[in-house]
Amino acid sequence: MIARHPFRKFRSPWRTKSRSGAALLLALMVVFAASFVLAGWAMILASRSVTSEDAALGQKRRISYQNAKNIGLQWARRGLGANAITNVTVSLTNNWGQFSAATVASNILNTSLVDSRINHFSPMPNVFTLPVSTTLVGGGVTNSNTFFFRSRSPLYGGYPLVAQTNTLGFTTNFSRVSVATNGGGMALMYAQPGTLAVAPAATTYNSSTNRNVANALGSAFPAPISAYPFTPLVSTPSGNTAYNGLLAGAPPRTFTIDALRTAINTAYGTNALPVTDYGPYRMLGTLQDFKSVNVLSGTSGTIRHFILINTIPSSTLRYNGAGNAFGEPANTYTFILSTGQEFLISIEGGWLRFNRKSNNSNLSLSSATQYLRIESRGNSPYRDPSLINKPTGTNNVGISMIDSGNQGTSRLIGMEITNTELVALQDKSLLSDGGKYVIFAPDLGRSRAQTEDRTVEGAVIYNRLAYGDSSGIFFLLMNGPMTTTTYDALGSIRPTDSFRVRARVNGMSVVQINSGATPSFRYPFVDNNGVFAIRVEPTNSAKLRFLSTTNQTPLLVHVEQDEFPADSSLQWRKVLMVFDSENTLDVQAIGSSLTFSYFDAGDFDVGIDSGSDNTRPFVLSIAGRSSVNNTSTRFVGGGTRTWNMALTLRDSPATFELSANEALRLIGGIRSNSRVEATPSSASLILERNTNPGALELFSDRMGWVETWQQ
Amino acid sequence: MKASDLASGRDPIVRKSNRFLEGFSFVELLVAVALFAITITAGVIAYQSISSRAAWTGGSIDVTLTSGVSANFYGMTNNIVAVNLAPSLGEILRAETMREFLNEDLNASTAAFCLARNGLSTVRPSTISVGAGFDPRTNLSPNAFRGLLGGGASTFSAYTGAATNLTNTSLFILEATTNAASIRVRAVYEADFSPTTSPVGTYASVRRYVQGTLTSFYHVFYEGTNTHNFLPPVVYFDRTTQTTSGNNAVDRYLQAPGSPFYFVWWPDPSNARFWETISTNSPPTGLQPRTGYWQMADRSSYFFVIPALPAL
Repeated sequence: MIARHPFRKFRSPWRTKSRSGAALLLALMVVFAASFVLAGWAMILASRSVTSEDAALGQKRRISYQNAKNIGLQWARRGLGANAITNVTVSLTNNWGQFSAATVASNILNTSLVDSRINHFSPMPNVFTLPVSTTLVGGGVTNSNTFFFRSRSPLYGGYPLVAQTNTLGFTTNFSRVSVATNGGGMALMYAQPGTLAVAPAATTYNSSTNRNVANALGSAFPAPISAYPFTPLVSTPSGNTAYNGLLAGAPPRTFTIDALRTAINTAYGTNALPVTDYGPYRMLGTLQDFKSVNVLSGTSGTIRHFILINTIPSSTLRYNGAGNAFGEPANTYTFILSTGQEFLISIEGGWLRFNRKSNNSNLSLSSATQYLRIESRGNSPYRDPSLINKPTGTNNVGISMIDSGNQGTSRLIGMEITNTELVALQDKSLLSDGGKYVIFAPDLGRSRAQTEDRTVEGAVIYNRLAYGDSSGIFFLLMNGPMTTTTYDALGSIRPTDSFRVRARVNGMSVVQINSGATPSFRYPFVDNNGVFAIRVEPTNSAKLRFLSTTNQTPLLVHVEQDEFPADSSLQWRKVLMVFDSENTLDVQAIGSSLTFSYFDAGDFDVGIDSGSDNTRPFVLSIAGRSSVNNTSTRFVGGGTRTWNMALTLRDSPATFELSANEALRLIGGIRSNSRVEATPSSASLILERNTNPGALELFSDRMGWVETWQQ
Repeated sequence: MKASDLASGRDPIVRKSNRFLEGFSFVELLVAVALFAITITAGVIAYQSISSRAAWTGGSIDVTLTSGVSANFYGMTNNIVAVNLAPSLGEILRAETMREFLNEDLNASTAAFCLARNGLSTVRPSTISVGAGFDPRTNLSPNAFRGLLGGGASTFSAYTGAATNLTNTSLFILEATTNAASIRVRAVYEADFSPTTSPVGTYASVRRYVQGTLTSFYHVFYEGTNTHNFLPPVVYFDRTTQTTSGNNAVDRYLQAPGSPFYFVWWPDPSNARFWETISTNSPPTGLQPRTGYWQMADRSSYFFVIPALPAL
């Protein structure tokens, strides 16, 4: 008997082989379905994970690009004030950004390049631009960005008023200064709390609690304030390297004139001051008639008569021959004078011939062995033919020019003026007598016989013509190279190349330089009025070097004009003057020309000719002493008028002493880090933008900034 | 019957039952119970997963837009558009693509201005003429830029700080050009919210136009009654150095230490809680506006800080 299994009683009578397989199949199906569910679940989890990872990758790519861009901006801003930037590659770890750029060899802030890609939202339009291509890598993606090194003078770039803080601790304050909105002008302000205050009208803001300039100005300030977010970088000089500066950041605390001067030196030679944007000079004033020359209207004892015959303007005076432009005299000039006409002429080189129609008594100097003599003809109606009237009560010879210096052997023109004659001329005036007195005095040593009987030293001096008048005006004109040292009225002249000098004494001294090279000058001369003046005559590459005066001697600089301009100021040539930072300066306007007076010590005074406009654009940059705040600049004058001046003042307060109720228009603007005010309280200074600075742009102090975008 | 069975005396029927008709063993039952538990667990997980996934797939729906809207947006003549209900995972991918477009456009741009409006816009220029007196330096605000659009300026409304009552935006991305007389427009991004009645809800659309041509878009439909607008869609922050007006409601937005910038929000396809009421459209008084829009974070993750002058 077989024993039963204890569980046998639980056997299902229905269980069969096929039913058991179905149960297993069902179980497998359940497992299979569950696997699908689990697989789907896993897929969902995976897709969510992938979505998150993709989002994270995108974020990393964007962040990495911004990282690389920010590195590039740092690189560009740090190098903006440098002459050159070396190549660089900066990489962040874990591919969080990489920036690389090749070497930038150009002088970035000194560039004159203008890029064709215009950003209408640049801080200043029409800027100088140096584009540099760079590579930015972020998140595995390589991009190309162009960095644009931009720079421009803020005064000409639309900010006639630029206020900056200084390092000397005094307040930058603008009182009774406003900005005209015409021409798109606005003010550009940089301030640290408590260091800058700007005052409209008669109100003065000196509150140290002002949060910023905009609040200091409030709505009462009539000028729009620039709200542009660019960070201007102001170069700081380092040694003698132009624009080798550091990042000044925002707000810039200092700006430099030295850098400007150094930049000029870099381009034009050490310590040279170039004046390149000009043309031939003809006359300072308006030519009304040849006998009535109003050289400088409204003058006050400075330059009165200065006539240079270049083109005979009327039928009363004609010339024949192949004369060309001033500075290149023809071989022969022939002047025909009408009866009784007397005038002042100056012929540069060549041969001089006078033809008197009445008696055909030609006076000619036609060869090196001849000399020129001007004689009186007794009591004839045409007596006193000399260019200088004869002394009363003496003989009939008004002037005698004798080639006696070298016995008439080699000189082109030789003249001698006696002391008597010269003294006799002193009571004559070219002004009062209509400019009919002329003296030719090539021998400068003799011409100054009253004070110092010195003769010309050196063997070769030719094509030289000097003339003066009894009012103390003396002109010296020299053409051609001077190869030896010449001591004359100007003192020591040491030219090294072809040049032209025109000077006068007893009133002022004018030096005209017309040189292809750079002559070396020293001018210890001071005239009787204590004024020393130079004239920069328009030619190519005229330069003044080592210009300095002593003993508080005013220095007057005339930059000449090639033609008589109409009323439009745009026709005037531009002037650029840069002065040493440790001295003060005097600026004076005479008629439509400019005179700068330069003092060795003391405050800087500017005389503004009453009622006269300055239509010639110019730049005046003045830097005060770096350690004190007592050097001031005074612009003195009266009468409503317009000045076309871009004024940069560093550590040098300025006062415009105007007439009561006067509103002086200053086209160009002021950049200053100190006090600027107009006095008296009823006067005001209105700054306007100069929209056509021309070549002055290249020489003006700039601000720089960086722009970049992806290509 | 086998001989062995006979020899052993075992009942062949009983032996067969032992092989084929015996009950579940303990192991079998344990396995079965385990399988059952796995099945139930898998079912629960699947249900949970599907339920969870359902939140990302609201499905597609045909929405009838107000006449002229689809033509303005897409150049379509049909007012019915098929759009995914929020939340929609698929639309997120398209929205991310738009984010990439915006990022690239900004990297290549010189300026960006976001204008606000309530109606539709057809202002999608390729260039913007500037006059001789054009000078953005005194005013970089969107209102100033609006003045450059000529006749198109009336499409937009002025706003200072937050556009608290304007639902739609047009973001103009500008770039450099060689023409001094005109500004080149790189792209225009439009974000619009259009209420619908069939079905009831709000149709949100973000589009990118280049030279007036639609290049990319994403859209999503928020079903239900609009209880609270998606406001503000944009906030403009001007420089801190701008002249204050004395009105705190205006001056509080002078917060930019450098470049002016915008806060811009786009509709988020992943967020169905679009209409959740927030306390206010403007940050409370005394709270810095830059941090006062945190409540918008609950509405959309498509939030951008856009500099007005990206090139600087």
